[in-house]
Amino acid sequence: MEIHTNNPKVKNKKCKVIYYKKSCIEFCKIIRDQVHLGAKLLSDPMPASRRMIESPYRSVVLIKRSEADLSVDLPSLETIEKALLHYERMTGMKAPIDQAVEDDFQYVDEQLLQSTLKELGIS
Amino acid sequence: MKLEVGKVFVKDVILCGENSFEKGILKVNIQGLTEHLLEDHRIGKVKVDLAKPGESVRIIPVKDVIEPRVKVSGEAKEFPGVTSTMATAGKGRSHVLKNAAVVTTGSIVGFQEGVLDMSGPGAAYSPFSKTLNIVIELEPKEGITQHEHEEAARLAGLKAAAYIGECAREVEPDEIETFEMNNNAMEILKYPDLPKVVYMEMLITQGLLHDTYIYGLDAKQTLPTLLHPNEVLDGAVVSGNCVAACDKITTYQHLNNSVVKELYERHGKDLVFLGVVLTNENITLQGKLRSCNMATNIAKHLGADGVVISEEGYGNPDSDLMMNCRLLEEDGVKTVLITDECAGRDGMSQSLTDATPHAKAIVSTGNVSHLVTLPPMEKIIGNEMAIEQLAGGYSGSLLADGSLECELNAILGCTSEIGYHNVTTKEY
Repeated sequence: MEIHTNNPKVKNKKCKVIYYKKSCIEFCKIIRDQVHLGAKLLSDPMPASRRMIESPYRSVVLIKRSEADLSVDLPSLETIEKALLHYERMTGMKAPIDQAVEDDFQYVDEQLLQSTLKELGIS
Repeated sequence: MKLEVGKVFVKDVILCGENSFEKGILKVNIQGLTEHLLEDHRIGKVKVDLAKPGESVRIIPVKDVIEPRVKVSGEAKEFPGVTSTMATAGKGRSHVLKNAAVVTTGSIVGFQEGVLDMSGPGAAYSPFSKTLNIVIELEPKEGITQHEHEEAARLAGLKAAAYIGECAREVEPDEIETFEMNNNAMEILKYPDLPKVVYMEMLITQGLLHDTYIYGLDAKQTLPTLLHPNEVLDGAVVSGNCVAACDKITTYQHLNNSVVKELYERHGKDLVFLGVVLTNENITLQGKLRSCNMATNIAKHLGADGVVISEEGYGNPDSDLMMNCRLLEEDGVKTVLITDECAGRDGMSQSLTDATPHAKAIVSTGNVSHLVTLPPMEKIIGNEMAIEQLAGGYSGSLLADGSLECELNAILGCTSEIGYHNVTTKEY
């Protein structure tokens, strides 16, 4: 199980964290490519509120396939494609954010990730 | 189960040195209330204010809205499992101070939203511009985390509603509304020819600022469950989320759930109301599958012919909404979905992030992307700076004259997905 994130605040002792210094859309494209290479998403990259959808930070939990498995997980692909489509549509609509708000976005993303990990049995 | 809701209509609210209710005037002891809330050691400062319909007042950011009420009989007290000992809600009598509301405000994070204008065009969009609002502004003590702040603010609102509700304990209600329904086996026997309908209420349950509580239990840690409709109308469900202002379900709206009331109204006339399935909206894909399967299985086991499904929030919960719909329709159970739309400012974009051909009947509660201009207000309660960080806000959304251009996203309760709101949809 791995955490992939563009949120610099994310650290975890029990799970490998892979950090990308990328925009939200670029980050999602990387995740999409990972899914094409066999990764399976365990968490939804799209949040449940408009304001968090506008957040520049995302963290997702995924598992990599075994070397012998060449299949693509279609639900994962559908999930990341839907998220990408949505983020691309919303590009350019976002207000510039100041440092304090940026910190809060990172914090809430990290907290939502903690909830995800707890649900997955890792905390 | 029988619940009597005694409605005590409030004509005006006064902040003073005593708690009382007489001839429609609600008096609230400002010092007593403040001291009561400061008993929570996490709260550093409490400021109590009033915002009445028609006043030039803007409240921002709103955390929650709660209807003041008191239990005068029945084993449960107010908000069982949260502000009182756990007991089954929905029995006995509750006295409710109608037209009054407790509104909590205070920034937990910088991008929090929830604008409530008491006059002007913004007021038309929120049902809470018509209530006499007792606004409680909370500041946490230094060193308190956002999690602790959120919890303290959530509990403060509920405690304030119960504290103020006490004023109605000895008052003879103006009106009594009775909600009575026996167990499903008996109700089905009474109306054997009517279609059986379940209400499935989806709740945001994803983490900080995105949570809901059932009898005090964090609902993301629960499996879908069945409640008697009376429990929902009597404080079993409280809100813990405050980022999706337009479609968050405030505690006030849970207590007055329009879908529950409508199905109750039609029970025995053209349907049999089998109860409320509360289900959560998880972040993990496995969690979504688990909850959707279990929630729909409850409805199927109850023998539902039809299910009304309401969503909370927007984004990944659209997937849960569609999955719940598909799992029911595939087994021949008819569904009606209630959701708002994020269809772009011209209303022409794909309005949900997921879809299924099984979703044939959808009630839209409005387009959250619709752009509105809110003129400046003379008085701001809360954090004025929060205006600049609203969802749908953009560079220049705060105009030179103090007007605010924003999407409906930002306005509290304006596209509520349980129907307790003002916006309507017109087909043309």
